[in-house]
Amino acid sequence: MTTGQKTANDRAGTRSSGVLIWRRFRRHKLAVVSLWIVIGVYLIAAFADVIAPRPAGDYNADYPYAPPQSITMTDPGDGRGFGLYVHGYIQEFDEVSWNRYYTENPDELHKVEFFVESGHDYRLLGLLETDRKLFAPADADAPFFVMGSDANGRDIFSRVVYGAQISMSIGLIGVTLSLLIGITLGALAGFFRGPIDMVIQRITEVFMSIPTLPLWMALAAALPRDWGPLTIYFAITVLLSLIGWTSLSREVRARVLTLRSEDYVVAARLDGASRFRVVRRHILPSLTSHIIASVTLAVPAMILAETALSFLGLGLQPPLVSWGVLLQESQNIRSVITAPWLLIVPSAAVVISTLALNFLGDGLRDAADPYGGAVK
Amino acid sequence: MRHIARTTAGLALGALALTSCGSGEPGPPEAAGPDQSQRLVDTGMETGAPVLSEDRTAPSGQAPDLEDLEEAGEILPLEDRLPEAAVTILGADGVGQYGGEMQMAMNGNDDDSLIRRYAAYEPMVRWDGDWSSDITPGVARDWEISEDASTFTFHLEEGIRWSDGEPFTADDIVFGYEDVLMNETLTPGPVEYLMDPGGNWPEVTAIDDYTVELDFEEPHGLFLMQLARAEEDGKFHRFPRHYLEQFHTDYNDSADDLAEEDEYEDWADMFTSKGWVTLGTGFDSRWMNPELPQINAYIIETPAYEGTRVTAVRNPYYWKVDEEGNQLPYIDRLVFDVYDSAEVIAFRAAAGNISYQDRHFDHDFRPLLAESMEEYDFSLVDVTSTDMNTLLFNFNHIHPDEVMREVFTDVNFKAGLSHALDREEMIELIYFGQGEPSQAAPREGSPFRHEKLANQYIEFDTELANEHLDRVLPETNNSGNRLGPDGQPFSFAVDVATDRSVEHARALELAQGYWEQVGITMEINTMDRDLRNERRDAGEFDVYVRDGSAGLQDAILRPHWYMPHGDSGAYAWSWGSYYLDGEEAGEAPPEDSLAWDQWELYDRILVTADQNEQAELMEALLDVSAEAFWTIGLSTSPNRAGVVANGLRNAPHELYEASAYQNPGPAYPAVWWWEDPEERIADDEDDAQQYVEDYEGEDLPEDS
Repeated sequence: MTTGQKTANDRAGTRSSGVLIWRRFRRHKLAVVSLWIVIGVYLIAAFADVIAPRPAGDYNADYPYAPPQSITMTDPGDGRGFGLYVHGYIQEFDEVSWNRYYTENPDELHKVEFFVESGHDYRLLGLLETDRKLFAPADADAPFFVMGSDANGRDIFSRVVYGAQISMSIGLIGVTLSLLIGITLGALAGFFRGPIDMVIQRITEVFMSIPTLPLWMALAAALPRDWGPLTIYFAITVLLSLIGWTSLSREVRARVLTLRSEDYVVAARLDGASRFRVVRRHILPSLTSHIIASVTLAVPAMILAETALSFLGLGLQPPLVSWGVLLQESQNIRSVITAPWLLIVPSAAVVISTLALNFLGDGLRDAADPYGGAVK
Repeated sequence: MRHIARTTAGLALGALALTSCGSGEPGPPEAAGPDQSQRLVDTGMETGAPVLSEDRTAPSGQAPDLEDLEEAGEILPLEDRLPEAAVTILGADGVGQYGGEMQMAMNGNDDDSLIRRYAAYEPMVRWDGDWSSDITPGVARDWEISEDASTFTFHLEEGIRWSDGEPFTADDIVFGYEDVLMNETLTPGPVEYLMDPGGNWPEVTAIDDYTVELDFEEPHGLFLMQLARAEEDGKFHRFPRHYLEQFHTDYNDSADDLAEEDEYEDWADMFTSKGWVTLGTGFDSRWMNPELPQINAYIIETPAYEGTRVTAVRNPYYWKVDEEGNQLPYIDRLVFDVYDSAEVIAFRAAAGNISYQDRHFDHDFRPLLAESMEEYDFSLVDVTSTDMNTLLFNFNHIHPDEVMREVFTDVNFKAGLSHALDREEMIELIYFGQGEPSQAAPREGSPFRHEKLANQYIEFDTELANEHLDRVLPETNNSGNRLGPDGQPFSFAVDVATDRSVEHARALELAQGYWEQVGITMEINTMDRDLRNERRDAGEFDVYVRDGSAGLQDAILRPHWYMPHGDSGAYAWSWGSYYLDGEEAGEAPPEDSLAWDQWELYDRILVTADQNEQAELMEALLDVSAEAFWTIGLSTSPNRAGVVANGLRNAPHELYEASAYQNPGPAYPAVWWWEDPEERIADDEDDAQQYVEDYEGEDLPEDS
């Protein structure tokens, strides 16, 4: 998707819409940065096994609630050489508050190396069997918590990295699905009107009138119990999207109803374009901005909703990790007061990703309407 | 009929201790002197809580505000208000001074039990501050029990007056019993504490003004303890006849008209609302109806539901004094602020705004409290909960699936899983290294402590675990997962509630790892508490986890973790319901079930008068519990933290916690006093509620 920079200016009027969209998009700096962030997040999710120094469920009973370590570049002068090091901890257990107080141990240095053998085997992208980690302490048993540890002594950084896999994938599938259904039915109803519209509208109303809570409870009872927690969660998001398309479909229908009487649509029809072509080429593109806006709003909602489902026993269950799960684990006084990193790190991940998705959507929306504004 | 006087109770208790230490305690026989045995019967903690004096004292002093009232002629003079020789309470910090206010925090608008615990623990007979088996006098100064425990004669404290000055007599008790509790309109259901094991009502007679006799058809061995536990509110001595008669149709023909005037449905609604439980809110009428006379240390000043604060002031007719004859209570006013979450209460306590409170503080609040106690001048109260276990795995013994049931009822299966748990590590990680590994058993300090039950299958030993499991599920598949009797990979799911059980969820994640090591797959099903209970009631679960209660004196009153009893013990709730409520409520266990043996023993406990024999039977019952091994336990519950302001004297800094115990009621809050009463005035109601505003934006998790 690259455009010849030198020819762009003089031939603007004859460019295809795809090229115009891209040109316009690139002018939206925030959107471009966001695009890279989103790509980055997906790369992290795809290569979580390499990037996370520890497996998601790996705990170290000696270091609950350990604060984040700082990585220093130094040479301890004991023959290990110049490089990156983290300090060990000194722990003190307070008998009154039952709190562990950690301080940095100046005498204990653990060397951090790149592409180090960790002893935890995994299959990279499901193919290559290895135990190399992007960066990890040379001594596999050394404490290494760059973003702190949780109550069970699990590395928060690793958990956030693994959490991206679920938070940035499964939720999106549900969003996509309801998007497809919503647009198809909405466009059909709006374009054909008459009996088809009548039927689709009644179906929509039936779906809208289903109360969600009892439906979820029914689903909770109906799903086969020998499915794994991930399959159940996936099934639930799919089922939710099967009833979640209604409002989008209504909006699309309303837009199509107004657009179908626009002059350019009428003109296309009079030119003999097929109905399908009219909808696809002339009506739907005008809806893109609206659709993108609703999708970007749906994504963060989905990330947060994954834990809301847990109260019905339908949400993500351990040992699965997602950002929603991590956020839920940090929702208590002890974490907020004594281990704020439990809250801050996953929140930051959610905030950054959703902001990036929102800006990306924003940029796409502006760009998606290349003929709408004046091209300067 | 031979009567055992109350004073012989001590001897009986000594004997009981000797027999109960026969099991597991290898101590030398000469160590079992009278002191030693007393310690074993006791819960083992000397809390330093105030105690009842052997002596009585003539009233001689009163609070300044009552002096004013007396001078104005609004109340009787001191010597006429109180008994000549009044009940005397001794506090460790001695005689105090009048004045000041105590501030507490209620969790939600329906937390009337908190008020009751501070202001109204006035049962017929009381637990003492150390929660020993030795029941102490309350409203009844003395009592006799027939040898077969079917006749109880209570001699009431003479000279007690209701808070309006009318005398309290045996007549009030007969009224409360016959006209309220036995009245089918007012009390449609049974009153369990009052009925004998056969479910029969006793015959209650007033022998004279100060003597009441209860005749049960069958022996009621646990009746005294049931009177002391006072957790239900249907105690028969709380209904002032002279005031309530006007609302009762048997005494006032126009009671129904009166009800109509006051816009009640009928006289029964009016009576209940005025004197027992306020209809609509379910709140105890003693804290809603200022006209209702009481015999408690404090009476209501600002009723509940009028705002965000409930206050109670001293009862001018309270019938207890200190060792110098000063009328109690010392502290002028109890102030209860209503908050809607435990978190806000914790912040309130951390800012030094709670005078004494031992409830509503989870372990998670401990660092917050500990770190602010120096700055805000309070200390932590060490609360030993009756909860005997942090986490019990209740395997469904009546699982609808035959394969599951067969495996779950096999002791080897549970023993194997138990050995596979690294409890030390779990305690270290989840419970801050506090508590000891333990199965579901009465905890240290209970007279019913049973070493075998507490410590069987407890050590972490993967080999031993595999050995046990091999006897049940010997086959494994390629990935090392054990196969069930049906040849399928065996796995089960654990239901855990999401609210307030963060610790449980974390413990399960660890258990999941340990059990994987021995080839057992466990799935964790977190869900809402209500849904979980629904599944439990329907019997549609594999394993249900929760913490274990009733681990001290109350083990004998509520044995549901040691044998199927009622619907609380989820491992076989249907059997428990069958035992308590008959065929309609639940299903009978198979004939070879150990439950039958246990029920036979418990039936005998219920009709046994002698505490000594009760303890022997209980031990036999727990022997069977050990054999059945109903549940897998994790560890003893760590003590919880309460808060006590540093200027508050006579208030215990250690105490026991149980709903059957009504803490801190047994520690006589009436005898607590302030070093600096003029400083101890509650903050403004609006300021107090400002806390809610301050923390509202934080979206703190809800507590339920």
